[in-house]
Amino acid sequence: MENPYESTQRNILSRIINNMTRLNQSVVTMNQELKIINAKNQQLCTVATICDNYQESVQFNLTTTDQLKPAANK
Amino acid sequence: MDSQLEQLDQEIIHYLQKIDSNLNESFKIITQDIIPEIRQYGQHCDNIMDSCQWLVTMFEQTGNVQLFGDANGDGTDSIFPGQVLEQDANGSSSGNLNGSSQSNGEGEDDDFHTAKITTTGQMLKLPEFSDDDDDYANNAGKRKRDNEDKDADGSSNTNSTLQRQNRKRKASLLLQQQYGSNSSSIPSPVIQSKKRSDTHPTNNDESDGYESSPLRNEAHNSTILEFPTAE
Repeated sequence: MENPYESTQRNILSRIINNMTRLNQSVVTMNQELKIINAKNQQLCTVATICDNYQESVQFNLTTTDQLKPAANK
Repeated sequence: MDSQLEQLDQEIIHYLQKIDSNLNESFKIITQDIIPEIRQYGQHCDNIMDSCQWLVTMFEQTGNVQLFGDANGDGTDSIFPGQVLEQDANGSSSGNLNGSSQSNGEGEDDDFHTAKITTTGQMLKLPEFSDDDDDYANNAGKRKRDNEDKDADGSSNTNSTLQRQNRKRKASLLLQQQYGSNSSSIPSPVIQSKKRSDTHPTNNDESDGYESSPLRNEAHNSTILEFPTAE
């Protein structure tokens, strides 16, 4: 005798599979977005590092040449 | 014994329904809440990057180096190859102080060069294939119209190349969500092959290197779909 719950369970399982597929795709989409944003932020990070190094070297040069003056008060 | 079995079955059904609703809810949360937030965040990052473009140019010209020639390729190479080429071309031209100073003429040129990407982000045609230029031109016109529609829709400052590319990508994502299609970075093989066969009826699979992968052929023949999550 066939289990009457079997078809219901099968239906729900197929729905679960469908939902899982959709979820997977959206997660993949989200991952792509994050990846692209990450690449962009990497560039930003590089620029920030360069600025930092630039500031340090300017500071060092001004200090060693005795040209460092206090910041002007506004 | 029978009553116990029945109870177990009902419990199983109950739990399965719970799992189903939870999956549904998480899908909704991701698509309606998280992805828009991420997009907004990306927009802000773009704005920041645009604002810092003068620093990049200054340091590049000061040090006589090219800073982000490779970084662009790493970020978006697999998804939008045409746009990466365009970005590289823009990045190598040292005259541009920032992206927002580019003229509209360049923007249209940009449309033409990225026309091999459909609005769903899928690659219609590899650049080295030159047998169907009519489709190419048609798609270019279609994309141009799409972009004009998008420009008429809202967003005021439309000149930056980065923002234009970003909008294209977002439009593709919107389309994907709206129609529930499978066009992600690893697009569904079946839809991809359907699309390609629709747009390029003269291409057969043997001559096309892009579809010569065994995975694609398998998926085209059978109904079992695999969605790799290598990300």
